Amino acid sequence: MNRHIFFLGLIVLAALPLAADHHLEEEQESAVLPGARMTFWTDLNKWDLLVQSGLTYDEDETLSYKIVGGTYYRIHKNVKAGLLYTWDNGEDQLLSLDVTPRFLIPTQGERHSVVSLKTRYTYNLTDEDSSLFLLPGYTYFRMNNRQPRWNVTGAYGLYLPDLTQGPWFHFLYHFSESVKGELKSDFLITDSTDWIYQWDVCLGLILAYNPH
Amino acid sequence: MGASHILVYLEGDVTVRRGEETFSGEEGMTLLEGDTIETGKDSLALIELIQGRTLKVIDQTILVLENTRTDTNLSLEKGGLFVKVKGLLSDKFFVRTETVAAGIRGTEFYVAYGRTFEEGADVWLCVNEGSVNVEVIDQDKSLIVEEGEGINILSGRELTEPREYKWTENLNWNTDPTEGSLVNETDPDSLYADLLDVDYF
Repeated sequence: MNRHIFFLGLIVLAALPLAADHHLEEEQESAVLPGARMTFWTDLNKWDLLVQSGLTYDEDETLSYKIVGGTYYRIHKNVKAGLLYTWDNGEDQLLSLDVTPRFLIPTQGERHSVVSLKTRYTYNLTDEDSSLFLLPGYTYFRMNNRQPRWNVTGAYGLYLPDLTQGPWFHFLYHFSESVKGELKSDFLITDSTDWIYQWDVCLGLILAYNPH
Repeated sequence: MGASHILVYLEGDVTVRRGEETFSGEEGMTLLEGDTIETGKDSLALIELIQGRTLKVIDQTILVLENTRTDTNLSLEKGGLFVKVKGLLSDKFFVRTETVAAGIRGTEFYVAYGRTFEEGADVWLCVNEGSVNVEVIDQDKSLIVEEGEGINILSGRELTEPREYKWTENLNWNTDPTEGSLVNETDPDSLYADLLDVDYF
């Protein structure tokens, strides 16, 4: 239990300076956007169902929300495909097709690594715009009794066709098989000439249900 | 050596090795102390030991009836088995893997090898009735697994905390062919976290 409190504290502490930077970066037209989200995840053998709701504190000091619903299907041991619907602040409606291959890198002892390539095509139903998001990443798992205790992912995101890009980070702590805490950082360079960026930092709670 | 145990039921390929000789298993076959029972893929064997003890040997298993005269000592070299002991034991009854000894106190339990790691193979054990004393051989480590609990002995050497595991609900404890299928479809490999399925972003 003490370990759980320690990691919760770590996550909160990690988020605090980012939130403080928010006001400094605003004047440079860059933005740090702190947020929080909650995810309900159901694992039904090859099918996953998810519902996610999130809040983001925008640079104009307003709150925006996002609701995501969708499903993933395990089409191969190493490949999952997903169809997601996003309702973004009541304005944009997005439809995404996600295909992600993953490969396990066996290592010694209780440590394991996974490399992945998240490929997500998104079509904006509102303005009929579309984009492709590529996210090659590496995930390190720290295991305890053959179960993941925590895992951390480092990745690099690239949006096409506008070529915005930047480093991406995700930390997931497994309090139990059903309850997980996460910290996500998505740093996006929107203008490389003037070094303008958008930095989304999100704390999250995941409630996972696995009936088998 | 005295005849005492019977191979009462089998499915698929079951082989009995006795010294230098090898026999195809047959229902009603008498088994002797020192016999090695080997089951093939999609196969199983049901063995009635003396004093009302039943063994269900799952597929791809190698089991040696090492000592069956005074105390009972079974050696599980590969795979897994279900053990059902009726009533309280007056003698000692052990199932041993390479590194673990499971001492039974009148009970029903399942033991099987899990994944193999560099330090050795995991050993899973689950108790349906009664209790089992689990001891790591050559180490001063032991604990009791109670009814409804399971345990994973990491690499056959490190005891973990016994607890309820959801997967044990799917174990097929049936040892009577007239009451339905004996096949156990719980694969120990499925008990491990699927890291390729950890995807929450």
